[in-house]
Amino acid sequence: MEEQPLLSVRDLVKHFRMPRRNLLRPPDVVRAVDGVSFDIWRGKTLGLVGESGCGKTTTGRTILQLMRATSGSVQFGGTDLCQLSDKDLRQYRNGMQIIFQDPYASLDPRMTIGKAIAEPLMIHELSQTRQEARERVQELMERVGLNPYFNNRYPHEFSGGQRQRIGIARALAVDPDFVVLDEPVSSLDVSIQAQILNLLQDLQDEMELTYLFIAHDLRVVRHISDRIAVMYLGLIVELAPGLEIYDGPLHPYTQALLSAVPWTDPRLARKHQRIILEGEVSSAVNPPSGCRFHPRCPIAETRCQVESPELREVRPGHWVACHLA
Amino acid sequence: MGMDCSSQPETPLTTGSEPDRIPLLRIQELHTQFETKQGTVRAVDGLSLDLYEGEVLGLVGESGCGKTMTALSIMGLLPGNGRAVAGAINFEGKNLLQCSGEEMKKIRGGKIAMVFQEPMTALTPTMTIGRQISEAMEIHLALSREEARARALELLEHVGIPSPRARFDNYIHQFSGGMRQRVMIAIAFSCEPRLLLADEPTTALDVTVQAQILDLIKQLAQEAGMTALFITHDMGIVAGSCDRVAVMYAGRMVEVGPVDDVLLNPRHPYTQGLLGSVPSLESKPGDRLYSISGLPPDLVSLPTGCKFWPRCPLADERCKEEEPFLEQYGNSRAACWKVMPLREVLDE
Repeated sequence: MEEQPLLSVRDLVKHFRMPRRNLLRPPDVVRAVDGVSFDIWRGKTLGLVGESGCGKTTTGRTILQLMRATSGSVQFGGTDLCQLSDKDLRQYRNGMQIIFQDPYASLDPRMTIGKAIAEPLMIHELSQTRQEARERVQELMERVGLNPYFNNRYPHEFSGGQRQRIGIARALAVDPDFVVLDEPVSSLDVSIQAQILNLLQDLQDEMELTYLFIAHDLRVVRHISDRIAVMYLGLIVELAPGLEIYDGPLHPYTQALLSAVPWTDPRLARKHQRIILEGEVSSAVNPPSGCRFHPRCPIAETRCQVESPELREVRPGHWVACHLA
Repeated sequence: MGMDCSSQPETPLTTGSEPDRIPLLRIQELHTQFETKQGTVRAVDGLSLDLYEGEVLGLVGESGCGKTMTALSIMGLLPGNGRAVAGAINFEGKNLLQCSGEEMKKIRGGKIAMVFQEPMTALTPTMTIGRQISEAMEIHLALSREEARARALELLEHVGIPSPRARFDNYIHQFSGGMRQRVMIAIAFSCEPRLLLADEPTTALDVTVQAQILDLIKQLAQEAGMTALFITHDMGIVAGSCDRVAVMYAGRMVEVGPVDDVLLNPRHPYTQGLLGSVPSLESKPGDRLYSISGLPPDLVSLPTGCKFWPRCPLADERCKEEEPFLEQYGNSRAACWKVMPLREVLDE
């Protein structure tokens, strides 16, 4: 890829200190994100998948500087956001937005949705007059498929899918380049999920948006992503163009994840040999030595317990962190 | 209605697609309603469904379609303002809707067990999990405390709880999500029920753990020759775990049949929409998903005619006025006036 990526994440680390349990010992540290690197090009979507606690949400929030990184860099249009002060960050904030999983929790229950959508316009001084703001809100509501007539209603009067549309309108109000979508359809019914996914794709085409799409449903991620990164315990274990990962996953964790996807074709369900992983994800406080996946890995060798595998490019554009791949 | 608790189920109305056996559970014209300030919510609105010995039936639909309320009606566990106002649920020669509270207590957890979506709210936080498993067996199987303990340990081991002896005296909050679901499964299977109701048992779990739990339930049910009703919103789970599937919309059944027939050759536009909404391995990334427009209907004021017509791309005047009934198409049954034309469209 010749062009410069819009977003370049390098060696991103985010650790959380736990409350001290014992005065004589240092506090536990949760290594939520432990050295993550990837690029996203303008107008493209990177899908970030993994199970709960793998660090995908923390990665999204750290990129947006909603949490400050412990170390590493986030280059956005040529600027390292991690180096900026909170004050200097403000001018970059409207270039980057986030859409949350639960739009109900992210909307003020006492604010009409018209006001909620207008709020970012006011904060970033994008609309000079009230009339201008009102027109922009109307335009945004229409764009995401909401009837502008309802702008005086409150969030509780809307269904889950409609609330997610409000969340999208709000994020788009400031005309961002880059949007983090954190499980945007996980709490929605399937028929509504499809509506929202179609909307997100249309908006991306129309506005040349760049997405980081965080999700655990591999069916949805396959559908919307150009490239996919699989995370396990704070690290990326595989990164490749979307279809390549599905056709030939190289990391044993990716293979297990994909074999567990409940495809709706019963013939496929019967044919597929499921790789059932033993146990559950280890703790991010004391991640296993060597390869973090080795305690659950069906093919692990002695080497995997000691040496931690580097993410290496095995085919053009296909990266994997496994000694045996 | 006016049938007593011991009325015998009638002979099956349909054969063909359904296994040629007497159903273990027969739901007839079930109406479950809730009285609210806004009016009467018709959660289940005339559902008839047979469950045959040894089969796993998937009950699919989106939130609010009545699938959970169907299960709670069977269990006699409807929340305060809910009531099964009409219909019958026949199980082992008894109409469960006519059974007294005492009778239901004996059936619940004994002959019929349920696995809920959220183990944290379904299990008692102040009782060790060992006690919770043993308690059910002491009540339903009349085991002594020691016998129940021994069997509980066996069960915990069987459902894959590591070091069951050490875990026996733990409380539910000390377990991870997947392990909690295993504990609930151990409780559900403890009294060797004939019928298992599983209400979205894996929705709260990660994909790899979901696969573990689905396999565990399938394996245990097979070992015990148990009949199961699997409630889910995910057609993928139906594809991998069920023999037959019933699709619900607005409190009624719109399509029912063997999994392969319904999933590979769906007849009802709603079933087609549900399947089209989930990205498949064949679909090309970036393609538009088939999506059902609009929202599910308000259960207080349902539309006339077919309940799906406001969202159906094929609806015409007849659909708005006349309610379709289930008709046989191949191996499955669907309630839609437009099934035939739809197939012609697909054949072209």
